[in-house]
Amino acid sequence: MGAINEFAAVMENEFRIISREPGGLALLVILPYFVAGGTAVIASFLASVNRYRFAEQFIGFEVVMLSIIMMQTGARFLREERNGGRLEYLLASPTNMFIVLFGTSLVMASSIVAAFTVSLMPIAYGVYGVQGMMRALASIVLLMIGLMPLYGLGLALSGLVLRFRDSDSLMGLITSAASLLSGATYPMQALPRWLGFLVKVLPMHVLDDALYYELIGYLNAAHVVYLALASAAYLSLGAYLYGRLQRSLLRKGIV
Amino acid sequence: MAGYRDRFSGRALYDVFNEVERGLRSLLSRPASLVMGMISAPLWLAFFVLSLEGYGLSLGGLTIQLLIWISYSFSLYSTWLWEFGQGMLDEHQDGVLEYVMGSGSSLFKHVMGSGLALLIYTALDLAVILASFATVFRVEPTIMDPAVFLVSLVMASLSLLSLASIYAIIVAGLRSSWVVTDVLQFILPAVGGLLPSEFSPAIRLINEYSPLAYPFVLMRESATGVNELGIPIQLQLAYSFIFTAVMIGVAWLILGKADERLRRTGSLGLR
Repeated sequence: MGAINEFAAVMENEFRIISREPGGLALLVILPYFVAGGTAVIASFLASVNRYRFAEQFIGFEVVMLSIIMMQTGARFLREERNGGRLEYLLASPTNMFIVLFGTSLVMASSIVAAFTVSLMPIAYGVYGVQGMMRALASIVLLMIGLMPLYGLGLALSGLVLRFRDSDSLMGLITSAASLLSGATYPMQALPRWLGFLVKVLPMHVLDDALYYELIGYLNAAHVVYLALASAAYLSLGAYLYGRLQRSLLRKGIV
Repeated sequence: MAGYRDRFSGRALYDVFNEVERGLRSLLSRPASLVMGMISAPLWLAFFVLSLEGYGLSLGGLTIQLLIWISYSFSLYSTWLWEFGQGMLDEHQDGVLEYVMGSGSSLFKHVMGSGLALLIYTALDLAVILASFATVFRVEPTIMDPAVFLVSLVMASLSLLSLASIYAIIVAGLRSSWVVTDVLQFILPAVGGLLPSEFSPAIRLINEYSPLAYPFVLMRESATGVNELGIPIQLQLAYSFIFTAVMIGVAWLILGKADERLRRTGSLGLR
């Protein structure tokens, strides 16, 4: 019961922090319209863009945005705690750091999933009617599962981010590479074979496919199985590498 | 009196050059960060062009040339709003502005100096974008009129420098100014010459009547050799110059007011 109480306390605290910046959540709802809408406007001058293609690209850009946020969550949290001088206290406290990390990640995932759903509703209704809206609601569970591998990946990279003095630039580089390797907004045939392989190893393109097929009513069980396995694999990798980072911090101190 | 004016303007120039040097030192003090920023640019570019292919486009020839300038224009807006505008707000939070002003400089000189240093970074950005397009898409970027191109690039950067500093002062008191910056980085380019006039009559109308658009349209025209607006280049240069001068003037006024308030109350902004 102790661990559950700690988990609930971490989540409650994180909800309070996130609710202090309602502008950020509002931005998550409207930003996809700017990004997807902007590229659609540019594309429409050069070719015909129909609403089905727009809906598909909209989901793709959403997946890219949410993937970037989830990948940055763990590293950003650790970096802010370190810069605020709170990381030592967290590591020294009896609360297991994994409870803190997963508690904060679940809150972040819930918030961005909610923003995604609100953002997608008008598109789902406009293109696929009421059934589309229902399926968009159902994709919440799919998205929660699909974001977990990205959190694990971010946790795996957190050691690298903490070691860099100018971690903002490193996060910027990781973000740009992740966007390019997402495979969510373009046909994978456009990439060279070796890059295509990298895209297949990362979970973003399967998450994008799963959400799109769910919206049009053709979700394949293989997508769900892949996402569940990817969650297990990437979360395990993230937990293992974070464990090594924590042991290193405890042994050598926080610099 | 003439001697006093000479000494005053000489001192002002000296202060601005000091700020340029300080800005360059700051930029070059993090070479890893600079390199990572340079590498990110072509990755974003590739993502943008591939995403357009996601709409079923097949790109080539003049379209790619136009995309180069759309990408660079967006990069300019983004860099000046975030690195410069938000950077100013971060400097205030970190207490850097107070030290700068305590050293005898002013907000306007500091902004101009840092801005000129960032202009060098945006020129490097251009080189990276051109090299990326050449490598990834096997397209040779063209600049038909280098002299007009250079002048338009400087004017575009100076107008964005002024705009970003005015913007930073206006949003200084806001809790989530980054949200506003995130939205503006899409709206401003749309009315600021991002899109070629050939795309549609509506875009041409915006480019013709939006003063912010002129330097960017000139930049594209001097690169591609195509006069989008059908207005003589000399006239477009004159409009751009007048707009840039007005923006610098407004920035000088607003930064002057903000400077007074910062010295008096310690808060950045006008309220």
